[in-house]
Amino acid sequence: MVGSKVAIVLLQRDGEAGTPLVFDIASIEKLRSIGVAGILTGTLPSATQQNAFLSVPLRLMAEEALWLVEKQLGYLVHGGGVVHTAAEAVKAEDMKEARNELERSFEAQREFKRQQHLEKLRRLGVKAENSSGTETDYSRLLESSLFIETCDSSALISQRQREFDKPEIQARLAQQLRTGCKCKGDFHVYKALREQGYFLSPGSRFGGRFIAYPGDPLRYHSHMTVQPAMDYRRDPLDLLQVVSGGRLGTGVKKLWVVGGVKDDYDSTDAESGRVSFFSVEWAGFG
Amino acid sequence: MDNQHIIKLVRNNLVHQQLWDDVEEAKLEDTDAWVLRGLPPHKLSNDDPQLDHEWILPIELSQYKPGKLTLELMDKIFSELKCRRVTLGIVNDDGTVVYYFIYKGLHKPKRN
Repeated sequence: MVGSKVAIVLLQRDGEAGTPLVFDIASIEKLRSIGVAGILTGTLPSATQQNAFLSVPLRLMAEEALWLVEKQLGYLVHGGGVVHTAAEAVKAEDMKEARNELERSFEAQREFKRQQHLEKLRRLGVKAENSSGTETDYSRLLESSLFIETCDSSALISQRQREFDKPEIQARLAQQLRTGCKCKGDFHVYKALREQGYFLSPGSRFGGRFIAYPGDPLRYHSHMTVQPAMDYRRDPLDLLQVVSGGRLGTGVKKLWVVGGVKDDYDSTDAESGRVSFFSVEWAGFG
Repeated sequence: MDNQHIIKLVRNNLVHQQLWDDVEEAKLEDTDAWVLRGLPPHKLSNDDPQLDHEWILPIELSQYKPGKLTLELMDKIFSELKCRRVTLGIVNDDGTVVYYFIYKGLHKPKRN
């Protein structure tokens, strides 16, 4: 079970709650299948200003990372130190093993190419010259066409990362991440919407806390801009926000949604009972 | 909720500017809020099955002091009216009224 959990790297600077990032492509695929899209942020040093075709790492919202930890679907890993400790732990025999591994891969490639070459000669009806042991033009060509495979992810690092998946470490890192959230109620709003099957992404483009999609964002337009959580009993609805948000939302075909969080709610029940949602749109007149 | 002083203003706006019919005032039991009920001149949303009476909650846009409309209060109004949506009639201090639908729960955007 531990192996299938997603490692979420929490990149922290001093005194910061941290940024949750996912580097592994298989993990990103898994996250998407369970309804967490995130934002791809990786770019090339030579094309830093391009923003259309971004790559790993995937950046998650704090609420997303906390939800994944709570549902036992992911675990937090502290910072970039893992890379250093993994690199320092490499021994001489590991290096030797890596070189042997590379040599085995070369041998397999040579064998495959030799087979293909013989097959080709046979098809053309040319008799293969028996030149084992001597260096021919062909064997020189073959040597220069061998590939060195570069792995997408490091076995050494993922092994180190798994050491973080212990309840006490997870509780501490999750607490650090939680202190960085501006509004505690937003996590309940996030959970309530996830329970109803919505994909959520950051909402600043439309002036909200979240944007909610009814399915994968590549297939659907978003339906709602979700506002920062309100206290169900105490916070009054700001009508100037209703007017500006509702007007903008109607213009971009989205409902302006507020959620009120009941702070006296029994936490063992489903989240949808804790949060009471209302959807606002312009009435079309006045 | 104290909104009796603006009920006439919103009523007049509905009847004379928006040309609604059949507009009546009512006071809610649970929340002491005044509401209006009336029939619009045409369907308000393409998603409505037919032209029907609407509930309007007149409320003051208070820019300099905190408002009074909490989500709990909204829930109480919905449970007393037993309706799909309530239209907020938001009154500015210059006499303009703007109208916003508020639905209970999550709702799909209307079709154009």
